[in-house]
Amino acid sequence: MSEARDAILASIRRSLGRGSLSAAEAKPLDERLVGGKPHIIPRRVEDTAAWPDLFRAKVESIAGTVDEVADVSEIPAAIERFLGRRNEPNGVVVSPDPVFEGLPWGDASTLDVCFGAPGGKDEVTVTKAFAGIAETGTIMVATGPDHAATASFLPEANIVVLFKSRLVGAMEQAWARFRAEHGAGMPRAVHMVTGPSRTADIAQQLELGAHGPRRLHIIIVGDG
Amino acid sequence: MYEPMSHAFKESAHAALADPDLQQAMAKLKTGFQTKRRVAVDGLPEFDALRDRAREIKDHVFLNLDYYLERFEAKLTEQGGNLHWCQTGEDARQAVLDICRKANARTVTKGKSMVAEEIGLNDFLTANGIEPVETDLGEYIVQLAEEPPSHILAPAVHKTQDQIADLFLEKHTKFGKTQRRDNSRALVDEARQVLRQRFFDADVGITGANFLLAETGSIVVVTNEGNGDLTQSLPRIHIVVTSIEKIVPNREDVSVILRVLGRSATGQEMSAYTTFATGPRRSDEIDGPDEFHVILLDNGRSKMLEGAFRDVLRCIRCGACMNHCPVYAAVGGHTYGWVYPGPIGAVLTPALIGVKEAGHLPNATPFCGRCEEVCPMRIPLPRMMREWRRREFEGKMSPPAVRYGLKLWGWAARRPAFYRLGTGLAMNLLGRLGRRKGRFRSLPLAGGWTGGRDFPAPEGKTFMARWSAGERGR
Repeated sequence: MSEARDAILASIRRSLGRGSLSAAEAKPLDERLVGGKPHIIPRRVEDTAAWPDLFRAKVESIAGTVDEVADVSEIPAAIERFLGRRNEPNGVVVSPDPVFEGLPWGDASTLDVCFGAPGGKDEVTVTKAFAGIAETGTIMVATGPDHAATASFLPEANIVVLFKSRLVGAMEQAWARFRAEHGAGMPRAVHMVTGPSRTADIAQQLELGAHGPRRLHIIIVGDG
Repeated sequence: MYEPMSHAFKESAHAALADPDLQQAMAKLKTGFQTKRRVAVDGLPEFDALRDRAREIKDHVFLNLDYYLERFEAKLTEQGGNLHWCQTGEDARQAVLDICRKANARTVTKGKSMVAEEIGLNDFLTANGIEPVETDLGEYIVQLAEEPPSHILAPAVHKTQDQIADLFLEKHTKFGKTQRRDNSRALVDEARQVLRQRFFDADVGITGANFLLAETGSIVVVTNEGNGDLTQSLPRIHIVVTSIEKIVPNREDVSVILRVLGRSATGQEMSAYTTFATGPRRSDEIDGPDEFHVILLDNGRSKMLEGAFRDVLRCIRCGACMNHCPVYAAVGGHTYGWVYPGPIGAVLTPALIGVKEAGHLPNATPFCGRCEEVCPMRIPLPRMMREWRRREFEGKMSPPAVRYGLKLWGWAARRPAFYRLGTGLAMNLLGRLGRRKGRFRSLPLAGGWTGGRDFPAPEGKTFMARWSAGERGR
């Protein structure tokens, strides 16, 4: 396929009327490639104190739900609250994250908890957000040893735990944080999730839960 | 590449206008897409500034496209992915088939991909004994109906709910679904149940890509249903079918474009799922594919960089131009006869399959300019349609009557005194003939116009004549 590679690159250069770039010409491009310089950040995220309210309002405007607890130890009870209220089955598949493994699950007697990746019939998953983006009510999650991609897509309901300290204003701020923690590389997948799965492919009528979760519930955990 | 039917635009348009089901389905376009976009755009004061920046980003990429493609390749390879450069649709289909064969694949699930449509991937795989299963609900519907998509975002927008209910009853009986569903909720649930097992059974998952990120070697996929993510996370192999113009330098650049994409497409601030996928599953990860392949198609795009049509490469396939096009709304997507319908199709199709086949498309426009007005990437679509018309005319591809008519008009238009004399006489005549009724039900040489509506009678004098006579200021 290297013949095709050469031919395509040559055709591009022919159309642009130049040869390949010299090292000096490529230098500013190399600098740009690293990223890290935001363009236009919407004014709606200027007020950092308003991020929690903005985040909640945005999530609710796209049919997601939000709960808030002061401490990680309250997560199992918050999950029960969410599921109990709606008579959900109690099987819960939780991401194998050290934060979750140490929780007092025994206190939540209506939950049947297992850790790992979900199968096609598991109805509820619990995952941890890398960040929450107030601008659009978006959750950012990343695959790794403690998170399976399918946990965000297979179940009927996905419960996402977001630490308040991980709430940012705009997408660019989430990426800045991502670079700070992960370096320049990327895991297999980073997902930005904005509300539950949806489709309007049948006569333009909006329905939730096309292939992914019908319900997206976010538990914000305070720093307490 | 599937057999283009663009040359039959006129005949197809007549049929479409007389199709009551199509007209019922298309009537919803305005409330569905146009209103939602308006609300979303009004909610972001920075929208126009973001459009300008988005345009600058892509223009910058095109001037350095060779550089960015090489960097994308280096990053992708570093992360364990494979890049397949393909000059033609045939090369791209063959590359996909080779990967599937090597893996002994029997079924592949597919996320929505316009490039896969462009290269006719489904028919090719089927002919080679591999079953492609579309998983985007709209694509799934048109696949069941054995039709091409009619909209780049909402492939089944031409179908009514009743038609879909009948289709599901017919095709899902073999899965034990024998009840006809009479609401969209139940239809969505049924498709979810039927497709769920197919996601797990597939050997290969094929998706498109909205963007290719040079900074990290990632492919970016934007969806609402979540099918694209099940397609790329569950099978052993993920193949991305995409094209060279989709490169964006870095994550800040793509953030700009994402802000205009969702709003322009469906009126969402963000689509439900924006996924950055980078190479195969790492050794310490819980799920994901073992192989990650990117099929990178040129198919004439590198040549389009040359000049007149470079701007159209900025297109991010949001569909806003077709959602706001009066011609598209009247005749639907199938009438355009190939993969890309609406205003973007009227510009892109002649570039990809030739103006000889697709010459009708840039002619099917009232030049109202709505498409350019709503295009998030500020593509001057009407100007480019005009350029295709010019080439069609100069290449002597339009019918002789049209060419001689235009030549005659051009000759007169360059002689203002003569032109004014001619129009003055004509208006005078028409004004007197039509004075009583104020309109004409038929006119010689204008049957095409008066076949559908009356022609309003002129008042008797031309604008120029009235202006010269001092009649102004009213």
